[in-house]
Amino acid sequence: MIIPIIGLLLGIAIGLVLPITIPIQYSSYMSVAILAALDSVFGGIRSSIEKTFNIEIFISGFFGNAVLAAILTYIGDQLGVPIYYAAIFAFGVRLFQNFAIIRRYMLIGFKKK
Amino acid sequence: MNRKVYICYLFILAAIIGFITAVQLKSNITYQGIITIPKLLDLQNEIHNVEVENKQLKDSIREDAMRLAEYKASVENTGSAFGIMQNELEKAMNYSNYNRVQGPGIIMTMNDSQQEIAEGEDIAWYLIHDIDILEIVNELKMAGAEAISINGERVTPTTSIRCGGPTINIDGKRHTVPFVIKAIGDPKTLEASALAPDSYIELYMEYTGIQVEIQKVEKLIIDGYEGKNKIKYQRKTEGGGAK
Repeated sequence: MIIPIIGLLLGIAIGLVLPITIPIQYSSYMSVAILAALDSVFGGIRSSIEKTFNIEIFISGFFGNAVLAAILTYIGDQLGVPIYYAAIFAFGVRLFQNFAIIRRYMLIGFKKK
Repeated sequence: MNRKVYICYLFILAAIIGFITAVQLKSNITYQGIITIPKLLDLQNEIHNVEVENKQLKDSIREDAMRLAEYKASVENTGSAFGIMQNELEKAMNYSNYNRVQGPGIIMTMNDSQQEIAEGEDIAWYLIHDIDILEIVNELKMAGAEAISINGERVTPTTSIRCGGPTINIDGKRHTVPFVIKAIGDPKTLEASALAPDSYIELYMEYTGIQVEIQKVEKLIIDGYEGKNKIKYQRKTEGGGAK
């Protein structure tokens, strides 16, 4: 558990130190990518509780979701239709669903103790 | 897959999440909201307006640059820009009625009626009123009068003509009969407009016998406006050039 947190802090530190900023027209891509990554993380936590965690599925989901979301955003931009709302909606719904399931497992676990 | 590799992957993924989140936060992007079509059109409109304004400003820059070039040429040729400036001043003075001017025109002399007042008639009908002067000045302007004076008082765009009891106040100064209206313009047109059927004189002054005498003059001199400059509040609009 401690290793991913260290990784997170390291990533934040690098992000803050490096002089990189995102142009405003790419901000929607970035936000969708963040959402996809968070969705993958919650999915990973859920599957690890269910003991079905698979690192290949996790990593391919992590990058695949982010890339697909970015592509959808790009197509939406070209067509003038905000398709990335679909990505935000899908990821958001799944994020909350996963969180609800994780919560349930945890509460059941606490009660058993 | 052993546990070390697994943790290594998790570490890298966590670092990526942290990185992109931090970058996004640092970019300080404010949420623009959903861009609806009306909003889009609004923005387009705004851009269009700014572009138009930009063009106007560029035009005015070009104009000023031409002016400057003129000045420079004058300075090189004659040693000073005085000539051009004097010309400009002259134009402005002429336009704002400050100059004494001459030209062909008419002199209209008006006096109160000498007729006997019939039973039941109002004496006011037989006198010259402020409104009469106003209407006649207006008619002269319509006929193309370029400079007008009433009893030597130059008529400017801000001149007021108002009733002052037995007198008429022109720009606050009292004037009495006879009224001498001088107008520079085409004498024939001015006279014709004053005497035309349905003109103010024909309609309202002939019946009561108010004396109107029109004289065509080849060389008429009209004095310039002698009052103070009344322009105190108005300014050129911001951004808008002269048209």
